[in-house]
This record gives sequence, C-alpha cells and structure tokens, in this order.
Amino acid sequence: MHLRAGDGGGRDNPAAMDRGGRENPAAIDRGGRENPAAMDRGGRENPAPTHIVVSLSPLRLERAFDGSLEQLSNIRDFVGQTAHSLGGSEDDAFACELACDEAAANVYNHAFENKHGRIVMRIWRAENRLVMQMHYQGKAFDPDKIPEPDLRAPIQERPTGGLGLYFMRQLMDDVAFEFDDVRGNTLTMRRILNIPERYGVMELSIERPADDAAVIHIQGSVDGSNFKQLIAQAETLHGEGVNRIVLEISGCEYMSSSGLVALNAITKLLRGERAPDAEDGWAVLKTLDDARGASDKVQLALVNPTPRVDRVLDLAGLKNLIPSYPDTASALAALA
Amino acid sequence: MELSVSQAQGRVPVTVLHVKGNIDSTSYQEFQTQAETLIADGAHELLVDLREVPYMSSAGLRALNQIYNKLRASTEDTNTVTKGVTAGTYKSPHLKLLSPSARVLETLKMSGFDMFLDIHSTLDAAVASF
Repeated sequence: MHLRAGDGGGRDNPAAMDRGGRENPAAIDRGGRENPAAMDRGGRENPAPTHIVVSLSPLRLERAFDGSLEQLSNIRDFVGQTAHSLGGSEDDAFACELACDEAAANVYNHAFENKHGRIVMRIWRAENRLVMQMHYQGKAFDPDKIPEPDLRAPIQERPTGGLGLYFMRQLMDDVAFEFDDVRGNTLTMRRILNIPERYGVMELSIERPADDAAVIHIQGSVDGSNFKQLIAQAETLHGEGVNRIVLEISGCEYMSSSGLVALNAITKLLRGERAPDAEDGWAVLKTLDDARGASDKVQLALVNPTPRVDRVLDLAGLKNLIPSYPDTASALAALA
Repeated sequence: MELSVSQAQGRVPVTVLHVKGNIDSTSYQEFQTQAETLIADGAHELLVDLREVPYMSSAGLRALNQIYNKLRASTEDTNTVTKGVTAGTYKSPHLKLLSPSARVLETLKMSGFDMFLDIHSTLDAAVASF
C-alpha cells in the first residue's frame, strides 16, 4: 500500500440519472433498520487484490479486480468495508455492497464478452455522500432501454432481466453510466449516507497527569469542520510544556481524512517540527513515515480507537506510526 | 455454497432444501439446478431453508422465480393469482421460504417477491402450512 497525494474526487456527473419520482410500490425502508444478520466483513482479507491505492483529500480507495464472477465476493467485501470506514452505517454498507454486486455481475455477464476482464473500483466520500466508481473496458448498453421490472406483474410473467439495474437505482441516490470505446466505461453511483447525528460535533476534555503530559478525550467526530480545533488544542498544550499527548478516542465515532491531518500535525508539533499548514497538511502526511527513521521516539499515542476509526488509520498507513493502547495508563507509560 | 436436502411430513410430504452460503451470480445456478432436479424427481412441495444464507442478490431472486414457475400448478389461473397478489391474499402454495435474514428479506421486499412468496420463521410452521 502506498500513499499518494491524489487528485480530488467528487466531480459531478452531468449524465446523472435520478431515481426520484419513479413509481416504487415495494420501496425498501432505508431508514434505521437494525441488522441482526450483518455480514461478516470484519477482519477478512481479500485474497488477491491486484493493487490498492489510497489517496487522501478526500480519502479515496482504489482497487482492481481481475477475473470473472468469482470476484463478486471480493468486490462486496471491499465495498462494504470501505463504505463503513468512510462513515456509512451498516445499512449504507449493505446497500453499497448489493448495488456494486449487481453492477459488477452485469459487467461480467454482459460487458465482458468472454466473461473475463478487469474492473477498477474507486470509492470516496464527498461531504455526506459516498461515491463509488466502477471503471472497465467492454460492451456498452443503453440503460434507458432496460425496462423497469413491473413489481405488480404476475410472477410467472416477469422478465428475468433488469432486476439488477432496478436494485442499483433503488439503493443509490444517483446512478450514471458513461460509455467510451477508447477510455473505457465508467459507472458512478452515489448514496447519501445515514450520517450519525453527532457528525460535526467534537467534544474535547483535557487531563494533565504530569507537567509534560496530557490526555485529550475526544467524543463525537473529527472531520473537516473541526479538525483545526484539535490541532489548536494541542498547540496550546505544547506551549504549556506538554511533549507527550495521549488521545483517548474510544468515543470518537468517525474520523475523516481531516482527522488524519490533525494527527499528523500533532505528531510533528510534538517532535518540535513546525506543524504543516492545515490547508495542505494531507500532502505531507506521507512525510511522517520518511521523517521517522532518525528518531523512533513516539510522543503521540491513541487509546481505544473504534474498529471504524482503526480501519481508517490502517487504510491510510498510520496505524504503525501512531500506536494504540487499550487504556490511558499503558499509553502514558509507553510515551514516558 | 453448500446444499442439502431433507424430508418433512406435514399434511403432505415436504422437501426441504437447506442452503448454506450466499446466493449470488456465482452460486445461483447450482441452487436452481438442485431445486429443479428435486422437482423433476417428484417433489411437489418445496421449502427453501434460508437460515444460513446471509446474502442474496437479484440472481437468487431469478432462481426463485424459475423454481416457482416449475412448481406452479398448470391449472392455476393467472388472473386469479394476479388478483390475489394485488389483494395480498395469495401466497405461493408449493414454494415457501424459511427464515430469510434481515438482508435477504430486504432484497425480497425491494423486488416485491415478499408479496407472493410465503415466508415462515419456524420450520414447524413452514411444514404445517403446505
């Protein structure tokens, strides 16, 4: 895995289709349903990803899938884990998995005439939306010519095609196809996430167990709207003589790439380096790794990241650079 | 995906097809073929046990559609069925489902399949309903 100062995603698609206004007798209830049978998406490793690229600002994940239908479960795992890591709920993750499964099955069955090929998936977050792009070379089709299934028709008279596309449009807020013989085809799907109410709300409380040490308890979410407050808090503490900081983040439900920028800035601050300009902080995130060789002394530690935040750290390659501990005492001891 | 078959006795003999694993474009054919083989071998009442199916895509629904059509009585009148489905009174008499997961149920609802496929939460109730 490598980090790359990526180009910004989130461009808008003029050919977007909207699912609004369409008759939908059996619409899925997207709101807040519990999920007792959530799929096992924790900890499973994708056996053979061709490559994975992570870029920041926005945090964007890319993975290529080579082969055929046997890749569907890998695609679902990748999409579900990423959707969840980028702030989606279990419902969001399920919707994204099913929509991408249907889209990829159509590509393998119809666009790849020998049924084998490469699908490149890119996923990123644009404000409250999750954007998923599927890029491939293959046969084009006219999505408007795929009849919408008549859900009231007698079951024995139903056409068996078109259900996959129908699911994609039901599950996503936006589904758009672009076909290009030369550059390849791109399917872009967007979903408005069921964002927790605490999004944008960050509460900090400070403890000073020693003159040179501080524990910052973080509740809520660390995102683009508030990450500078966290950096400012660390700067204040540093000015008071603190050179060891423990971030107790068990109550931090979501950390965006801006939150990672804050972690980077605080690490540099504690090393006595000038904190990078927050505006382009993500571009120097990778320098954390480079700068580490000289001194392995770690002055920033985390306590109890949630599995979601832990995955974001892992995806960004920060997990090995900023250690996590199960409790505040062991984190402070490790930094002493 | 793993498939196994058992027999149960209600008012009539019921064939139970137990499915373990996801039903997607990779696996639906195996599932559908097994069900069609059972029907060809004389099964008239089929219960599909979904208790160990975490996930089903539209490929699984297409398979259920095909299986339903194979089991449908030739005497069944299409108009009567359609009216029954619309009124919510029709439930598939020969093909029933046992305990779909919350996610599989969402898929069934999104496609409207829950409007005519008879779904039961316990094996006993399912077998007794045939």
